[in-house]
Amino acid sequence: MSSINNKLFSRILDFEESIIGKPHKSYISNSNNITFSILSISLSLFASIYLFSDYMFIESSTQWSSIFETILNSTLKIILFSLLSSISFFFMSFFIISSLLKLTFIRTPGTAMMGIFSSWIIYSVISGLGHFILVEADWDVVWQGRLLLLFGQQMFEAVTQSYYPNQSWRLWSVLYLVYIIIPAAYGTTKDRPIKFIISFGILSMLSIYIAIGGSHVYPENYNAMGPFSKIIGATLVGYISYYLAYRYSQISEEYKINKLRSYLGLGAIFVFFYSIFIMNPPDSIQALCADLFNISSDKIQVSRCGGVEASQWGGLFVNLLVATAGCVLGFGVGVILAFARQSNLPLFKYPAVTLIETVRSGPLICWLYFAVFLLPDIIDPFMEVEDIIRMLMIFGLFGGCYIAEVLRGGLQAVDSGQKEAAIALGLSPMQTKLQVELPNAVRTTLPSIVSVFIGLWKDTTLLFIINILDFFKLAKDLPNTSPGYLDDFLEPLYVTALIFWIFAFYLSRISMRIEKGLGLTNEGGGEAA
Amino acid sequence: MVNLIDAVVVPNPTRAFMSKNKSNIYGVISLVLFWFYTNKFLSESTRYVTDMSRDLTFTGVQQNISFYPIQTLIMSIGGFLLLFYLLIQNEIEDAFSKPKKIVLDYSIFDNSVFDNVIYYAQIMPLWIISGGIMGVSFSSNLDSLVVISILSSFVKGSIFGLFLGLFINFGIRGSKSSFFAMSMFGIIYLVVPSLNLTSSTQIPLFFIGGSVLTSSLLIQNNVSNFYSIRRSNIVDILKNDYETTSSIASILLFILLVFQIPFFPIISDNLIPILSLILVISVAYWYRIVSKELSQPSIQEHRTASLTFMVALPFLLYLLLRFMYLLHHPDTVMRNRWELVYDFMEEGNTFRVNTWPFEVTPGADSRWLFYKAAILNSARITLVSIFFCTILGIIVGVTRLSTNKLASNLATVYVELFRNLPLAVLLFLVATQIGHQFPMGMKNIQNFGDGRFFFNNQGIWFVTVADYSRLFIGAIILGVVRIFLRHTSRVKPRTTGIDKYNLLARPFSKFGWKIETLMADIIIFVGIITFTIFSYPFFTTGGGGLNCLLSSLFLLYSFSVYTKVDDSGLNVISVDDTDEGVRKRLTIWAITIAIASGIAVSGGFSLPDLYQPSSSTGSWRFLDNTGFEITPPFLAMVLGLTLFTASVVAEIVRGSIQSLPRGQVEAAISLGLNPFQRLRLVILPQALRSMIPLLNNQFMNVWKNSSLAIIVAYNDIFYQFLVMSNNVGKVIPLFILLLVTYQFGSLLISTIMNWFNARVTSVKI
Repeated sequence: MSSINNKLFSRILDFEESIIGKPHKSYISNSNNITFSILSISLSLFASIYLFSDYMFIESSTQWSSIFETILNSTLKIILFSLLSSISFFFMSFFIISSLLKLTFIRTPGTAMMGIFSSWIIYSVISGLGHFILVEADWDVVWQGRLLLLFGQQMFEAVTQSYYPNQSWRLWSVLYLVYIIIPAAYGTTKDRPIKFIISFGILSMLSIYIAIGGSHVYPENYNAMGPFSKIIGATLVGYISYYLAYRYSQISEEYKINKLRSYLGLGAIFVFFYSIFIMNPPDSIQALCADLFNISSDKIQVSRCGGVEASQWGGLFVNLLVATAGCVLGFGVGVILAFARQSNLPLFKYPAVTLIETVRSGPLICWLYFAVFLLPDIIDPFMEVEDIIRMLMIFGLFGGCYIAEVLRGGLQAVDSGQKEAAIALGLSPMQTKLQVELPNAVRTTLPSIVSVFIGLWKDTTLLFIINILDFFKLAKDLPNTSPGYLDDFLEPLYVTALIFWIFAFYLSRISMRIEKGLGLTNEGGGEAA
Repeated sequence: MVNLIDAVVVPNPTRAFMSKNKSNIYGVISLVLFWFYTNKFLSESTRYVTDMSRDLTFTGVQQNISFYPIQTLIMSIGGFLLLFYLLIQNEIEDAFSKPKKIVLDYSIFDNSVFDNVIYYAQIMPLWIISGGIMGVSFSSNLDSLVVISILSSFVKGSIFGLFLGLFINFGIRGSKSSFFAMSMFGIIYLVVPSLNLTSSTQIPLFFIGGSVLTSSLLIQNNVSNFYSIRRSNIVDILKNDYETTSSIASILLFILLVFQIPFFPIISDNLIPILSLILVISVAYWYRIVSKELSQPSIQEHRTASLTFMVALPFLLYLLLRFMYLLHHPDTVMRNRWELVYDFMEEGNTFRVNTWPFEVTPGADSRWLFYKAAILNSARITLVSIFFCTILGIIVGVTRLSTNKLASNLATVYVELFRNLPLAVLLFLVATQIGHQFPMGMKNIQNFGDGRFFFNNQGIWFVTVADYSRLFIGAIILGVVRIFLRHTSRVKPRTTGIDKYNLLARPFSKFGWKIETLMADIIIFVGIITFTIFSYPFFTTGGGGLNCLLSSLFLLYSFSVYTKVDDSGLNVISVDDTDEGVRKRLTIWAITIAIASGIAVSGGFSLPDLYQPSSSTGSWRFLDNTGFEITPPFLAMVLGLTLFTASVVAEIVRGSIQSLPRGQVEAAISLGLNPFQRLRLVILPQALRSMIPLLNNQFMNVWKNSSLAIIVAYNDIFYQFLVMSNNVGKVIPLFILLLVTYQFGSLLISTIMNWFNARVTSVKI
C-alpha cells in the first residue's frame, strides 16, 4: 500500500515540479513536500466542487433546489460545461495555491509564472468558449442549413432533388471517382490497414448522418434515401479500391507501387477536369446529347443533358474546386514558369520574371477583382466563361507564381552531377528537365509546395468578397434564412473556421508525413517553409 | 552489366512502331487544334487592325473613335515584333558588354579621332542617359513643372537613346541579324506612312502578314547571309543556298503583295486561312527538325525560342491589338476603364474617409489626398501589427521550447490553431466577436477610473496627455541622457582611426574616436528629431511632401554615418556592472524618467469626449481634447493580423533557435547565466541571423494581408480603390496604381529588413 502511495506521490510531485518549478528550500523538505501538495489539492478540490455546483445552479435554474434535483433537471451539455470548467479551475487553483505555499516563484520564477499563466489561459478559454459552445449557442442554424453550406442554394436543389432538373448523378459520379482515388492512394502507403478502415468508416458514417440525420432538413421535400444508398455504395467502392491497392502494393515491388502512385496522381488531375466538364458541359456537347435523346432545344436545361450552370455552384464544393484548381493548374503553371525563369534564353526568362513579380506584387484580392471585372474585357471575344471558371484560372495563375518561386529554389539546389549524368546518358534537354531536374526539385521542395497549397485552400475564403457563393459567404448569410435564427450569427462563423481548420490541419499533417517519408526532416527544408 | 546495356540499346521493333504511330496521331490532332487557334486569333487581330486603321475624317473631325494613325500602329506592332526579335536573337547582352577597341583598316581620318568615336559609341548607358536628357530638354510642355511629365519625357527620350545606341552597337559589333531588324523597323517607320495603304486590304496584310514573315525569318536565321551577297556571287547563292533564296523570295513576295493586293482578290479574301496555313505548315516542319535535336546547342536553343514565338504569335498579337483596341474602344464605359490617364485623381471625391490623421473634405480635396490618407491607414495597420506580432511571436516561439510542459503544449496549440485558420474568417470572427461581446450602444458605455477609460462596441476611449509637444520634449531629454551615458562609458577601441578621411561617409573622423562616436550618436539623434518635426505636416495634413522627403533623406544619411562608425569598431562600450555602477545608473535613469514624464504631463490631460463618437470607419485618433479613440475596425484588424502572423513568426523563431548549435546553450549555462540572460545575450542574437530573412517575408505578407481590411470595414487602400473605381470607372489606372503601391511598400519593407540583416550578419561568428 505504501509503495503505491509513494509512487502516486512522487508522480504528483514530478507533475507539479514540471509545471510550477522547484519548491523553496527554506522550510520545504523531501518529507513535508507532499503534505503541502495534498493540502493544496484538497483546497482546490473544495473550491472546484463549489464552482461546479455554482455553474450548475446558474445555468440550470434560477430557483434554489437540491443538488441532485439540479443535476437531474439539467441537460448533458450543462453538466459537461460545468465539469470541464470546474476541472480546469481545479488545476489552476492547485498550481496557484501550491506555488504560493511552496514559494516556487522564488527559486524558479520563470517556470512558476509560465505554469500559472498558462493554466489561467486554459481555464478562461475553456470557461468562456465552453460556455458559448455548450450553453449559449444554438447550433440548429448550422444543422438545418448544412446541405446548403455544402452545395449552395441552387446547386443543392439540382444535385439532391428529384423534381427539377435531375442532375444528381453528375456530382455523385465525381464523388465516386474521388472515393476510388483517395483510398487507393492510402492503400499504397505502408500504414496499418486498421487505421484507414476506422477513419474512413467514421468519415462515411458522418456523411451519412449529415445526409439523412436529424428532423429538420431544408427544404421539406428532401428525399434522404437517395443520398443514403449512394453514400453506402461510395463507401463500399472506397473500401474495395483500398483493398485492391493494398494487396497490389503488398505483392509488388517498389517501382511498381511508384508507378501506381503516379497513375493515381494523373487520375486526380483527370478528376479535377472531369468534374468541371461533367458539372457544366460545353453547349455544343449539351446540344449533341439533346439530339441523341430527341430533346427539343428549349428544354435542354431541364433535361438530363443540361449541366448545372457554373453560376449556380456554391458551398464547400466551390472551395474545394477552386483550391484544387490552384493546386493542379498552379503546379502546371509553376513548373513552366520555374523552368522559364531558369532558362538562359531571354525570350523565356524576362516574360516569366515579369509575370511572376507582377502577380506576386499584389495581394490575392486584387487579382480576384481583376478576374471578375477586367479579365472579361480581354478574354470575352474568344471565350465567354462564368465567374467561377475565371476564379479557377486566376487561382491557377496566382498559385503557379508562388509555386514557381518555390520550385526555382529546388531547381537551383539540384546536384549538378545529376544533370551531367543525364547528359552523359544522352537524354535530350527536355528529358533532362522533365525526368531528372523536376523530380529532384519537387522532392526537396514538396513540403513548401504543400504549404503553398494550404495557403491557397485558406485563401478560397476570399471568394466571398467578390460575391461568389462559397462556404464562407453562405455561412455568413445563413442566419438570414429564417427569422428564428437572426440572432445566431456567430455559430456559422465558428463552424466555418472549424471546417477550414480541419482541412488545412489535415494537409499539414500529410506534408509532415511526406517530409518524414522522404527523409527531409534532417535537411531542415520543412522548418524554413 | 552487359545485359543491361544490351537491353537499353536493342530497340523493340513493334514498340517503336507503335509509339511512332501514336505520336503521328497526336501530331495530327495538335496540328488541327493549332489550325483552329491560329485562325481564331489571327482573324480577331485582323478585325482590330482594320478597325483601328480606318480613317473616317469628316470636316476635320475623326469619326472613327478607335482610329490610330498609322505611325502609332507601326510603332506599337513593329516595336512589339522588334522587341521579340531582339530577345530571341539574344545579342542585347553583347551590346551592353565592355567596349571593344576596333581599328578600322580603311580609316578615313589619319588620326585616332574616328576610332575614339567608335569606342565611346559602344557605351550604352551614355546613349540612354543622353537620350533621356535630350527628351527632357526637347519636351514641349515643360511650363507645367510636374514631376510625372518630366519623368515620362525622360523615359521616352531614354528609350529613343536605347534604340539608337543598340542600332549603332549592333552595327559596330557585327550583330548583323539584329542590325537588319532595327534598320527595317526604321525604314518602315519612315517610309510606310507616306504610301497611303488602304485599310481594308493592304494594312491587315502588312501587319499580320508582316508578323508571320518576321517569325519565319527568325526561325530560318539566315538574315546575316544577306550581307554577303555581292554582284559576283548572286547567281551562285540563288543556285545553291536554297534557304537564303527562300528568305529573300518571301520578303520580295511580301513587298509585292502589299502593293498589289487589290489585283489578287483570291488572297485578300482568304487572307486569314492562307496566313494560318503558312504558320501551321512552318510550325509542323520546324517542329520535326527541332524535335530531332541534331543541331548544335546554340542553334537548337535559337530554334526552340523562335518556334515558341511562332506558336505564341497569334495569341500575343491578339493581346497587343486587343489592348490597343480597348484604349480606343467605341464604348465609352469600356474606353474610360482602360485609358491610362490620371486626370480624375485631381478631381474632388464624394465620400468620407477617416478623420485621422487629417481631415479630408469630400468634394473639395483631390482624390490623391484621399489615396494618401488610405495609404497612411494601411501603413498604420501594418506597422502596429508587425510590432505586436513580433513580440507575441517571439514569446510563443520561446515558450514552445520551454521545459514547462503545460506552457509549451499551450504554445503548440496556439500555433496549430491560428496557423491553419483562414485569415478572412479570423478577421470576420474577431470583428463579430467584438461587436457581440462589448456593451452595445452609447447608453451602455462602460466606464473605468472615473471618466478616464470608456469602451463599448463603437470604440475605446481613454485619457492621454493634452500637449503632445511636451511628450516630444520628454523623449528628447531621455535621448540626451542616453547619449551622455553612452559617451561616458565608452572605452578606447583597439583600432583607432581610419586610413583616409572621407568627408562624406564619415565627416567627423578627424576628431578622433571619442568625438567621432559622440557625433555619430548626436547626428542620428538630430536626424530623428528633424524627421519627426519636418515630416509631421506630411503625415497630418495634405501637403508637406518636400519637407518630408528632405528630412527623410537627412535621416538616411545620418543612419549611414552611424552605421559606418559602428562598423569600424570604434563603438566599444564597457558597462559598469559593480553594485555602485548599477546604483549610479539606476539613479540617473530614475531622475531622468521622472523629469521627462513630469514635463510630458505638465500640460494636463485630455479626457475622452464622448459626445461625438468617430463617424469614420476605422481609425484611431487623438484630436485636441477628445482623449484617445480606437475604433472597433482598427482593433479587429490589428487583433486578427497579430494573432495570425504571430503563429507563423513563432514557428520561425522556434526553427531558428532549434537550428543553433547545442554547445552555445551549454556554454551559456556553464558561464552561470540564468535562463533570461541565456535567451537575451546568447540565443536570440544568434537566432536573429537566420530569422530575419524569413521575418522579412512575413512582414511583407502582413502588408499584403492588410488589404483584407474590407472585411472589417476598415478604410485601407483596397477599400479606397473599390470605392473610387465605382465612382469614376477608371479601373485600369487605379489597378495599376494599387499594384505599384503594394509593390512599393513591399520593397520598402524588404529594403529595411535587408539593411537590418546586413547589420546583424556583418559580425562573423
